[in-house]
Amino acid sequence: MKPFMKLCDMKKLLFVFLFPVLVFGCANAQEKEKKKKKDRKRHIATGLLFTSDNVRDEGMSLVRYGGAAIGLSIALEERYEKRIERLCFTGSYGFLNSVYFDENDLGYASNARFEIDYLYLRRFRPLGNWRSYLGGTLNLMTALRLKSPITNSSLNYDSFNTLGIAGALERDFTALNERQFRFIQQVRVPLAGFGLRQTFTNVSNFIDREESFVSESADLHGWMSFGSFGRIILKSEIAYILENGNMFRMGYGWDYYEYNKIHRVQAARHTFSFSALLAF
Amino acid sequence: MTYTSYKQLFKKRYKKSFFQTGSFAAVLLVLLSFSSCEHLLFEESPPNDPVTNFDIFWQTFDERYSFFEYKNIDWDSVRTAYRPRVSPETSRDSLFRVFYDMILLLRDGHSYLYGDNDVARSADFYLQYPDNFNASVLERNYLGPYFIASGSLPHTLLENGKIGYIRYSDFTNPVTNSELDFVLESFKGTEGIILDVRNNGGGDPANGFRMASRFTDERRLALTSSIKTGPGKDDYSTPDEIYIEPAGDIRYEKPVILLTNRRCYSATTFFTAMMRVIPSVTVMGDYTGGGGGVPAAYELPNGWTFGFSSTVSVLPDGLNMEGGIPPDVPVMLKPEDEIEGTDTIIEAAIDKILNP
Repeated sequence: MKPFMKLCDMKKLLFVFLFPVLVFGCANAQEKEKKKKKDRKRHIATGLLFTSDNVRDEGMSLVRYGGAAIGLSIALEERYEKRIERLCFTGSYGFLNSVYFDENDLGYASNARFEIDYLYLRRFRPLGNWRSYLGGTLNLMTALRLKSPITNSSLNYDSFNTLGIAGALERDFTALNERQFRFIQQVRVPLAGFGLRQTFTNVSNFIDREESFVSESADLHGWMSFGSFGRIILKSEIAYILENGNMFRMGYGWDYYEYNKIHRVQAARHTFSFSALLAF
Repeated sequence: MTYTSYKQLFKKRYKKSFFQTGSFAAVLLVLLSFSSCEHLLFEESPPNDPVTNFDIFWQTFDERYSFFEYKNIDWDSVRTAYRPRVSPETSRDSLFRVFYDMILLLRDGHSYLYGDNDVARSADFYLQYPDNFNASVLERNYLGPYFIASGSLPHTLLENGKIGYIRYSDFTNPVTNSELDFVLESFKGTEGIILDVRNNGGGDPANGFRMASRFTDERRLALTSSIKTGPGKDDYSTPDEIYIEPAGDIRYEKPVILLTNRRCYSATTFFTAMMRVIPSVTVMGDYTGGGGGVPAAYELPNGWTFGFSSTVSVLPDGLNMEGGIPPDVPVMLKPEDEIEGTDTIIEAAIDKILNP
């Protein structure tokens, strides 16, 4: 019996998944040394999210699928006078149905998505009463769709690890009897990264025991840039700030991506999120 | 963070009501205008009509099926012949019939269509040939009323304990290492083993690797396998070499006779490919049925799903496994033996072990 993942597989995966992290980490290492703790506001955020999804994955079907999912997120946020950093882990699970049919579960697929997102925003010049930020984002996302009726080809996936730019507008305001709120509008656009997709016929060559499924997928990774890959993430959040610095935050996000390698995949997600942020 | 510091922060930044500025509405408007573009960004789903379903069905096979060349099938001419039978008014039943007829042309048990209530699949790989297997004869006169059912491997001793007999009827039933240990330990004193996989329609090839590893004395090349990697006729991966390797605590290196027939398909054909390269193994009976392509599947807009072979597997001597693997010793079940309750192939295997 061969080990599930050989050393060379590990190397491939480390390269694919951790290279962007290392680049980002090194770039920020010196800066982090100089952090001034006194102006730091740190929160840990736990959230519940509800999504509405649209997916068209030509590896699975030419028909568009729509559905909903529920998820959890946990995030660490640090805010300084001149910058914001946010590291967020998100996982969701839900269902998709063909837009044409849903009888006998034929047009049914389960849908899971896992995401690690690091956001770095540096304060820029103000725009009127808005604080503006520009920065970068590192995003590791894997979406899995399981469509049982297509047996050996039932597992459909796309995994993108991207570096991109991010911008935000933020403003504090009071409303509802002088309660304090903060509104932030973010936009993120990945510029380059790695993408993994299922094989052309959507089966792994499972006769080959010496090459694992993971290794076979890693062989299919490709550099992504504009042209083969596009993604945009828009997010609006309103936070109600309590007197002790904790917050309740409500958000709406729209995330669209498409990737044209092997088989075209297009996915859009509307997310409604509700989070509690504890200052520490 | 204290209330005081937040209050100070707000006093510094807050000038007038956020909502009164109109900025909030403007930002939301921009956001909504982006997200409403979603339907423009998505490629339209193809219409769910018979003609489009036909085109997708035909094209998916055209780009992904792996044996057109080997089987000398002109898929373009199939389209020319069958496309006129489909119109926007074609009923689902009639469309299913058209697809069924097309699938039959492929002569491939891994190509199938699941319709509303029906399944279309070619069974020519065994229906056009003699059975070479009689379950009743096997049970009545060889396995008998008592046999040891060790999980997926019913087995017994024949010829006063000189020969071990193992029946493995379904590769979807998992074979564990402990089962193999148990069976091979109980056959330790035999002169040889008959491993009967006739009528085994396939399942998980991992079971085959697990069993073959108990009989091989060294790492051996069993076959090569290529996967379809693109829509072009020649878009295949570099052939992967598939090896078997010795494994397990209890092993058996005395003569083994593997019994096959035309109904040995898919994983059973792969298993035969693994066993035939072991010097102590003799394949006896009839050709296997083939099934050398790993089946992939896809969906039509009308909800039907269909499968197709998507890889090509070749034996070390260059034989394409889709056509089946020939036995080392061809033996056919004689009708007169069958009537008398004798399995000609098992008897030949017994003779081969006892009189090498």
